[in-house]
Amino acid sequence: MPSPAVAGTGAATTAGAATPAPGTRPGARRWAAWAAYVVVIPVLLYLTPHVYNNQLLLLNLVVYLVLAQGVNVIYGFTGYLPFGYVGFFGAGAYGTSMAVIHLHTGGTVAVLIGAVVSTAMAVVLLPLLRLTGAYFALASLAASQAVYLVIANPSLTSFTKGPYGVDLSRVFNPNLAYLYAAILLAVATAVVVYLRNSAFGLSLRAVRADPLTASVAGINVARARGIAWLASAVLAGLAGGISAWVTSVFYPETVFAINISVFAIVFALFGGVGSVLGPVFGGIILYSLYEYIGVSSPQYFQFAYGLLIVILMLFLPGGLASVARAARSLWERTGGRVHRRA
Amino acid sequence: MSLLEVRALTTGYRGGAVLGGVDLDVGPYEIVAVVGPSGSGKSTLLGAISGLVPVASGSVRLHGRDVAGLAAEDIMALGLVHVPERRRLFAGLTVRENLLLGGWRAGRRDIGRVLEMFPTLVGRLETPSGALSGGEQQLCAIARGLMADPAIMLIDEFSLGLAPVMAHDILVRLADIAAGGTSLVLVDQDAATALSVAERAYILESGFIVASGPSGKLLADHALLDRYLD
Repeated sequence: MPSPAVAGTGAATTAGAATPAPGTRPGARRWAAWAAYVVVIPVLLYLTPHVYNNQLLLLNLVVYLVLAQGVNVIYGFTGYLPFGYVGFFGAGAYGTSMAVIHLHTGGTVAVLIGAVVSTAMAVVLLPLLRLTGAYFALASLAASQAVYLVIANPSLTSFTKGPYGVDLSRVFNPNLAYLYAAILLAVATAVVVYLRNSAFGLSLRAVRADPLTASVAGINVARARGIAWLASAVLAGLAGGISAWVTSVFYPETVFAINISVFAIVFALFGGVGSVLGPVFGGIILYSLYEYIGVSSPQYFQFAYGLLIVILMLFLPGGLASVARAARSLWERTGGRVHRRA
Repeated sequence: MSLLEVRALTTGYRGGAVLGGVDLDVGPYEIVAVVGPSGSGKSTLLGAISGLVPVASGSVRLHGRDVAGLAAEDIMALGLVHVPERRRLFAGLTVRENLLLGGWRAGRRDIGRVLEMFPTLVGRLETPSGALSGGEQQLCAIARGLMADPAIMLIDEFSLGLAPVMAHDILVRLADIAAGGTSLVLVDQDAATALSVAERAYILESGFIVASGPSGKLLADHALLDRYLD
């Protein structure tokens, strides 16, 4: 059962549920739908171990869903594709570890400290937002690997444990960690709901569409991008901390594996970035496929999974969210709307 | 006192001067045109005033305050809105969302006022702005700018690509906007169109103001028009 650190998973979603224009207040029905999205899925996932007795696999899934939502925040709303997103995950994992090892904190406080570390890393990397496109993607990747190399440096063994890994078994508490992961998924989804419905989220979409025009519309482009960047870093840091807490014993290469970025991005893209549920459903579907193919046909796993992703991207560039939107539009143009009016 | 006062403004790209020391004044309720041949620096002038183009030297005073060097969003917050060339709407966003973004900085969410001025947009609110006709896009761009209730609005190439009927329709609305308290600076390659609605005008040639005065007087000077305008 792959952990976020060592395996990927995937997935994507539906989305869209029509977003009311930010500025018009969503109706009670709409708010009820958003509340359901935020609460129901995490609750269901939290209860799933009572039905499917593999909590670690489920925790890995939830952690990936959080990462996919984090990618959604920074890529879906600002257009910055963070190939180095794993850097925040790893920083969160190691921040948590250092808190447990050196400050002797419990797991909860350690995870929060991990989030602070990942946020600090995001602050240091804010200048990367001056870059765009492939330059940003590569620079963020390079930054994450630079952090990895520093942490894995044998000369820092007394502090980071260097390449020899860390042991957090003293605070091992998978049940509490799983609860936190479910709550974190709810928070991540709530963040996306906010961005889909708020004036600030609209300003981010404007920045993504045309930064120059956004600036003459009065939007502080650098500030808007920076807030989204920091928010996505906090989510990844918390996810990294929770994952580290449960994994207990791991090595730098485990939590800084580029695979983690790739899977989070693929899940978000497959589901549909910019949507609320796209990354969640995308993650659930692809992660399940990942597990199924990996178990049933391990010899063909890399080929089958890669081919699947290529096909999906070619024929479904807008992700599952675009399918949901098209279906909804069709429904409104035909029977559904007619019925409602009647 | 001028609402907008530009003095000895110079700017340029990659070391080459585009504006060679421009002076320009705009008063309250006034419509001022800046006309000139292609490449004369009209769009650069508007960009330098609104903060999109770095100013090399000179001053740009808005309400008496020098805003040269401020970020575009800060100048906008002080009451100066720029409608860039080719409208530059957020194509993937709906008309409603574009309008809301216009009032974002000022915290204005009531789009009813601008819809009264541009009723054509009422039925198009949920349409992606990229799917609008050229004329509708121009109306949307102007309406978006008005959402901020600006003291002055700079409109670049407002008649570009529009049918004469639509251009005339927009001209009428521009006059109403100025009468409502928003001064306008119009840049257009079609000098006759711009001068027909502006009270005063500046003729820009190779980055320098070569003539200025009441529009009627400039329109009557055929030698001047033949020399500097297409």
